[in-house]
Amino acid sequence: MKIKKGFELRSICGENIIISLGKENINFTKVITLNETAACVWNAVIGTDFTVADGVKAITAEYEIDDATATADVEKLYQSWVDAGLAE
Amino acid sequence: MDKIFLQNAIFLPQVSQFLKEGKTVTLRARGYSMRPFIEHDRDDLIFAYTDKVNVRDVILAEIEEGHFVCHRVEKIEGDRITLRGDGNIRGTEQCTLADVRGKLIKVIRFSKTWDLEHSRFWKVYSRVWPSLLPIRRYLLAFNKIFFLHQIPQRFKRK
Repeated sequence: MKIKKGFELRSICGENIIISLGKENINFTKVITLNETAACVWNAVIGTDFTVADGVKAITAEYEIDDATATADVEKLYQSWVDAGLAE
Repeated sequence: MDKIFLQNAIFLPQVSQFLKEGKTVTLRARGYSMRPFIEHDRDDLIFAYTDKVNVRDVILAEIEEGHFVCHRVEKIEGDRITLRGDGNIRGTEQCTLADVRGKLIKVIRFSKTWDLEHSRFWKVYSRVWPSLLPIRRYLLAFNKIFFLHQIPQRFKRK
């Protein structure tokens, strides 16, 4: 899986906001925000061809969480990225 | 869908940066100072960078550090720009060309996009509305009572 080109995670006013830099217009009326954990995974996998294992590795390195829970959470997170058009 | 509110003083400098990079930026209207045309939390505003400002333009300006307004240019005297919100009866703001961050180029309302550069209505409105300043108080009251309260369903975001 890959994060589509042109998306960048920026911290604005304490919110992790995904911005589509490739587009001519940046629409702040509908933004996607990531919580801290999702942002941790995003930063670990951005620019790479990643798998669920990569996401799990990023979370378990940062948080105290068992592999099974982390795997379920990362799968759910990836699906939400695909649904939002951020990853393919 | 959750709403997040970002502090203007931190958020708008980043918006200014995007505008400077040549992008356009869409923001949800906040506040009532640009009534009757622009309504709080109903209209989406698209801004573009500009280095030239004309009287009657609606601009995004940083009038003090961290204090931004989106108001109409009332007067330009040399480098000094006077702004007034369409919905304001008293009170103007002053800034210089260096304080201008962007110009309002489009308004999106209920999926309809008003291209202000080419809208005849906007051009006429921009000329007529400021000239009605002496009776603005009554027009705004009429707008509030009749349009926004009596038939609010047409004028509120679902």
